[in-house]
Amino acid sequence: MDASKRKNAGNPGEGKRLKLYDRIAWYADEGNGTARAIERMTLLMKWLDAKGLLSDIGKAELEAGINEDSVLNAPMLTDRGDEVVGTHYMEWVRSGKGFETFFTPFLKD
Amino acid sequence: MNILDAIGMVRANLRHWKAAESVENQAHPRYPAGSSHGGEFMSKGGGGIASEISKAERGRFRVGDRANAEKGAVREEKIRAKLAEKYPEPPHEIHSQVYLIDERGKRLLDPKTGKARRVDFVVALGKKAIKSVEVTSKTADKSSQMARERRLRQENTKVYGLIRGGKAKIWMPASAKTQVIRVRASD
Repeated sequence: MDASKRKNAGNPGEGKRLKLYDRIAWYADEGNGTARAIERMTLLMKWLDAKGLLSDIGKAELEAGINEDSVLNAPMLTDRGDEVVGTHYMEWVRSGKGFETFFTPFLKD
Repeated sequence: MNILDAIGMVRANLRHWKAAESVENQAHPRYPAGSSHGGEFMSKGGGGIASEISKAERGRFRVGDRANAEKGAVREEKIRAKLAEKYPEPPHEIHSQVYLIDERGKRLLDPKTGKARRVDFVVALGKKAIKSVEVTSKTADKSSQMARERRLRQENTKVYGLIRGGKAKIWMPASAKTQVIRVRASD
């Protein structure tokens, strides 16, 4: 599958669906979950940026600041970022590990 | 601080460090437990061990957050499926994660908070939105997002939505004001 189809940002009538990996709003009813989620997503995106895995859209989102409306979706990642992070995101969520510990091994492939 | 207090603090820090380390050393799906990998990002900044542990902990999901992530993803899928059933494609199009923008494609910023507004789902017919939806749990407070959208609409006569990964826009008339839909993940 080519990159534009994988990232779901293609032509009218095709691939309109954005792959969504995370949303700050999902944590709003979990105590101080929103604050934790904003901090976690900010740290993750800074790390992704440092690793060259954020697309221009992702960089602009990070620069604008993560807030309660923020999400992490496929267009915010480079193809490689989507391959590494997108594919394994829910595994990471369930793992209980820090993102660097979890994702770094996948970067070595 | 007396010597006993100081010893107590050191012991507490050691327990905290060991607990964090034991979680980190659980087997990775790609690497056996105890293997050496990563570390360079968390080591930046020279904050010392306490700072590294703190950053590593912030970077992981707590049990409650994990459940919320999974429930959130389920809710999102449920509403998308319901919208697709009610508004079949074609002629409708269902767009997700739609930023509110102006005619030139610039993100609209709330005059009060300076924040942009992103809507979960927008159903479009041609180049016009006919429905706008915010999906959430039964209990989450969405008043600040709704107030932000209200202020953005008051400040701007014509509001558009950015779609297809930023490649196109649709008109978001006042009649397509966002509706909050509350869903239980288990419904």
